[in-house]
Amino acid sequence: MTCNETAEFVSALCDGERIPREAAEHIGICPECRARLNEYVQMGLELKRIANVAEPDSVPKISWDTQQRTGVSRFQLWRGTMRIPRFAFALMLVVIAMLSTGLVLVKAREKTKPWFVFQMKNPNDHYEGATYYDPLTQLSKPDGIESVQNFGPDGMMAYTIRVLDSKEGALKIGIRTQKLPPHPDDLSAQERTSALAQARNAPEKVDWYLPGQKVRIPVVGFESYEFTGLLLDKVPDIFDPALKQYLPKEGTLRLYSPVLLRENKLVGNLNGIKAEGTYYKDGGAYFYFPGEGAFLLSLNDFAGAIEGKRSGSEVEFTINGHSYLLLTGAPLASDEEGKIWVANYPNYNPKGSHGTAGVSSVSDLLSSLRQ
Amino acid sequence: MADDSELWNRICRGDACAFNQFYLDNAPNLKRFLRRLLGETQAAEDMTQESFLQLWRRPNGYHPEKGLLRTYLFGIGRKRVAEWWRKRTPTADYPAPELADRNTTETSSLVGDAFSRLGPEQQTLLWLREVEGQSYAELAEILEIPVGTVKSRVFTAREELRRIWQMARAQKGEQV
Repeated sequence: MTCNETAEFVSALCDGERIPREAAEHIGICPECRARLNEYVQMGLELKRIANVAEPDSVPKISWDTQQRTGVSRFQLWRGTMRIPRFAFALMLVVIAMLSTGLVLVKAREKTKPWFVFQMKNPNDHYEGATYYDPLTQLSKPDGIESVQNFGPDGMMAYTIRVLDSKEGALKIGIRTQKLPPHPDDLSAQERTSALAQARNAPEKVDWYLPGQKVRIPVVGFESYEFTGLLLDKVPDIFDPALKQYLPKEGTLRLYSPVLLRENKLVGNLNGIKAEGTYYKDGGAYFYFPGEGAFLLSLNDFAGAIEGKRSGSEVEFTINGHSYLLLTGAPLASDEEGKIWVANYPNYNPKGSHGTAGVSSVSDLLSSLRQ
Repeated sequence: MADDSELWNRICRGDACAFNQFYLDNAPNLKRFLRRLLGETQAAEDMTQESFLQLWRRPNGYHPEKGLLRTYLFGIGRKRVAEWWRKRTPTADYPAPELADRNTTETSSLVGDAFSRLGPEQQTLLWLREVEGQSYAELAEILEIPVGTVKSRVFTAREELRRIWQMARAQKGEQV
């Protein structure tokens, strides 16, 4: 492990948390990490000292009897003193509800939102990635979704995914894949169009996907990789560890297929565009639509930004009196809800671009987008 | 947690004695924490009282299964601080560091000075972790963020404090 990779574990170690053995071994032999640990400890001790030398905090007496109160419901009191495990009680309520309203539950289930996860994994170099699609709004278009994934020296893969049929909660999904030679840089628009055209002509693998069932997808030329499709019958629950991959890792920003609405009218759609990066302190994601300029988003405040609301795959913000709604194909950050800061750079106009998105450090992006 | 559940039940039933003991045990620490963030003793005292009054008047906002009552109390205090700063600086949540008047003996160290230059969120996080000894789970409850995010934010705050501290040491000619 490197010092950068270990740094956060030094902080965790300082707090008495368990850390991976590799990190502990590195800290044990690395003078830089040991110095960081020592300084963290010193800072903590100094803050405690500062708190202790501060003037004593006396607090005034208050007569609580005379303060008006609102009532506490009997249910809350009863719930607070409940002696049977709450989970068991909740389960009991659910069972009763299911028995009495089975029909309603079946109806509700039909309305839950399916998500299709296309996963890529190479055990040799530990590459792991996944793309998430909402079949109702994206895959069910005639052409479905198409994209190009670059696997470095192993080459690239262009693919298309579309929904062909649906029956009782299951989806019939067709996937075409085409291996392409390695490409050192990002594809130009022309190269991308050509790659996708080849994928559209490739044979289509068709499978029925049942919710929760993983289907393996053989890809010619990528035998060492594991490609799978997985249909989820609802937006994944972040509290279910098995579905945590739905959210990006800590410190990672992700911008998939951004669609921007202004006053509920479509401003731009970058369907199929994918940007992701890990910048713990200074991460920013941007997208550009011709005629609108670039929009920069960050989880931290930055110069010229306004505060917006972030909830899963949606971001709401107001700029110059116009309300905007940004919809993306997957949540932007590891915590599903929170604040976000946004700025618009209307003069940003890269030559020849029909729209793009990216993730980098805010400082780097600011210097590019302000030009 | 079981003790807190019992304490909360007594508070819900209007047991002023139990609440007063909770107040005496926790008000000094809450006031110290708030004064650190606000930089004003009087405002910190007012906010401490308001936080306890809120808990006493509307105890039904607390859910024993989610965490300690003390953690919930610090969460109330933190929200009040955020509200206070919003009212004072309508265009920004973050006060400029020099705005905070921390004219006490607390600032008489390089770490203390560096700490004062952190944003309120980072100050809150580090103070609650280092001085109040709140666990990651308790911080997650107070700040209403996932535990994983607490870990990374504590790390980020420590790194920022360390960076400012190192700069100050370099300026003073100490070995960094």
